[in-house]
Amino acid sequence: MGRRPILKLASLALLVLITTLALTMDIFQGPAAPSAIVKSIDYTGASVMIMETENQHQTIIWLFET
Amino acid sequence: MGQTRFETRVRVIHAAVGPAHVDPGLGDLAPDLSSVFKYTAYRLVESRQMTLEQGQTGRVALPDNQVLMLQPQGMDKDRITYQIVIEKQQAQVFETRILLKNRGSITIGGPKFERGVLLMNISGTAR
Repeated sequence: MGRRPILKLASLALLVLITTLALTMDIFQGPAAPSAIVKSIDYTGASVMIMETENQHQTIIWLFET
Repeated sequence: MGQTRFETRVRVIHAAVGPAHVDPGLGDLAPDLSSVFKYTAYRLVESRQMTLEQGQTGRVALPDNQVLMLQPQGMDKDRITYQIVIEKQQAQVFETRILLKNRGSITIGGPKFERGVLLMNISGTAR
C-alpha cells in the first residue's frame, strides 16, 4: 500500500477524532454559565453584591449588613 | 412517572482571617472562595442534607436566632428554581429566587459571626 492512501486515511481518522471530541466535550461552546442566575432579591440590610468566581463560575450573593 | 425530588444540601460555614485552615468537607469550596475573599480559615458549622419535593420547604437553623428556608419550585431546562429566605427572630430579612444549575451550588454570605462571617453554601440535584 502506498504512502498517500495511508496519509489520507490518517488525516480522515484525525478529523473524525477531533469532531467527536468537540461534540462530546463542548470544546467549541461559549463561556461557562454561572452556577446560579438571580431572578429576584430583597434584603433589609444596607446592600447586596452578586458576583461569580473566576475558576468555577460559582455565584456568590454577599449581604452587607451596615 | 414519579414526582421530581430535589436533593438539597446546605453547608453553613464560618469564614475568618487567621491561620490557614479548611475543615474536611470544604475542600471543594475553599480554593474558589479564597480567590475572591480575604478569608483564610473555613470551618463547617453545620451540614444538612434534605430531599425536598417541589413546593416543600426545608429549614436550617442558623446562629444568632436565624433560620434559612429553601423551597424548590420546579425546573427551568437544566436549572432548579429555588426560593431562599432568611428569617431573624421570625422576621424576614432576606429573600431571593434563583435558577440553580442542576448539580450546582450558590454561596450566600456576609452576616457577621464570631470575628468572621457566615457563609451558606446551597447545592441542589434534581432526581
